[in-house]
Amino acid sequence: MTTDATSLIELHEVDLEYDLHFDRTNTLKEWFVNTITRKQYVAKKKDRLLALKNMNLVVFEGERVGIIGFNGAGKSTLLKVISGILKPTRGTINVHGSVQPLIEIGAGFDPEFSGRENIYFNSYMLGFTKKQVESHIDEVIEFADLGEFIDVPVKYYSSGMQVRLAFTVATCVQPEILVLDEMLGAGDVAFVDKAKKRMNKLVENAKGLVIVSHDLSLIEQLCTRVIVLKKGAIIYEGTAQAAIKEYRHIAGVEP
Amino acid sequence: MNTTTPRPSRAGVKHSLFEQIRRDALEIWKYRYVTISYVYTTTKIRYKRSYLGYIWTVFGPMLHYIMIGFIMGLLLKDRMQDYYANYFSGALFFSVVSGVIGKSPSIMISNEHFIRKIYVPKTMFLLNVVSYELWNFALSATGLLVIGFATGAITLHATFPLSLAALLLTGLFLAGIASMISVATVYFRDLGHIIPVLLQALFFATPIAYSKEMLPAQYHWIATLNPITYFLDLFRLPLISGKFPPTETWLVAGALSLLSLTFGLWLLKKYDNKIVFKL
Repeated sequence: MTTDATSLIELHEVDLEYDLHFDRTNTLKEWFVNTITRKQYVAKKKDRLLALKNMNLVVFEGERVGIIGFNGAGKSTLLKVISGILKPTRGTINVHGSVQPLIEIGAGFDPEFSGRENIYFNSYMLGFTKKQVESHIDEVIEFADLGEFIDVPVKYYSSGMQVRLAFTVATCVQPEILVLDEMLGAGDVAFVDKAKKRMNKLVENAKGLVIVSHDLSLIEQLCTRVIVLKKGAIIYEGTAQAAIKEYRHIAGVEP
Repeated sequence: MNTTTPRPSRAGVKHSLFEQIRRDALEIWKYRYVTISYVYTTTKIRYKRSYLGYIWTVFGPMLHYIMIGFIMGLLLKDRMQDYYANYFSGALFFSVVSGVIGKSPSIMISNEHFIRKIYVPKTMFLLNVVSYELWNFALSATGLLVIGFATGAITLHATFPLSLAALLLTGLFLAGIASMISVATVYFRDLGHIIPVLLQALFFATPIAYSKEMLPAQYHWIATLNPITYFLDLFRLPLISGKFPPTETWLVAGALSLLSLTFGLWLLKKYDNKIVFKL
């Protein structure tokens, strides 16, 4: 596989296949009884589902790639493959640089841990060393602006505070390749503004961006190249304007 | 802060077995702070909740063991020497076994949010549980040992370090078992109910509240088939009687650990990409 010096992500003939379970048997007891009595409640137990089909994609340095398509087209799956959460069933993927998926990591908070402890734990989960976390912890705590609540267990936080902490944790690293599943929104008016600026800074400083969004005007404004996905395959690739036009055409929605 | 080490290219490429193991080990090392932070924070929270803090870690098991030890000691006094020392060490040892195996059904399920959203090696979740239980054991054991030495209930033998080695070997064995159970529970959720019952049975199948010699001859096979017996022997013999455990016991335990760990990690690897779709 050729490695271009300036390419950040290379997907080569990537297939992602997974089992779609129709069968709701998820206890040993049911499985045992059904096996003995040879009862089958569904026509077939599972299906192989191709979420990504023969995907070829190269993202170069400086590019901001938008991914659009209908629900279930495989947009989020593609992001998960790029982030390493899912491994391709066939084909290869090469990623040059650090990737950080910015998906609401806040759901990973341990309610018993304090805000500070959650920042540490989540950063370690993202693969950071103690030194790296300690170098940015002050800035993160200041940005979250939670006051003395930072040392209180997260279970006592209001939902707004949880959102703030989640946003801050998710954005506390500047990855080389930014992977976004919709823009992260957060909190009250004052914080939303701050959050927007921080997001923009992350996007500006990243060497490359891959974003999935249903907000077409955001895509048009942000992306240098847009890909339209349908049923796990790339059906169109081009400038933001052209791709959005094509997408609208397929969807049967004329502007 | 953009100093993350570039992630090596993934998937598709097949590495040799040795290369794969090397990569996996390096990855665990990279994520080591996950486990350190988990053990540290969880312990801290546990002690923060009560005024007595650490004392509970020693007192809790001690009261429990004294209660059972007293009754069983009364019943079996003439037939088993050093009943307290044997029962305490056995029960404490078993607390690691039941701790790890008892938590194993929820290892993958309770970390669903992480598995879905970020890339982190699933072995870390296993390592968290095993490390936490071993650390807990260390805390309780230190307290109990100090009391034991002070009251003369146990004497310190030169073979003591062997017990620690035995404990680490047990940790490897348990990590393998926990790996198998954690993956299986994703598919069969009722294992979460079945495991505690099996653990109870396992406790009585292990010579902790009784000694092997007390069992009628026709039941000796239970202790022979029960893998935990070998690990318990390795742990308890050097600690209580200052004896070097027989070589065959080391060999059996070593083989069991290797087998369990290999199969456990192989299973985890095989289902690594499938678990997320069944969670």
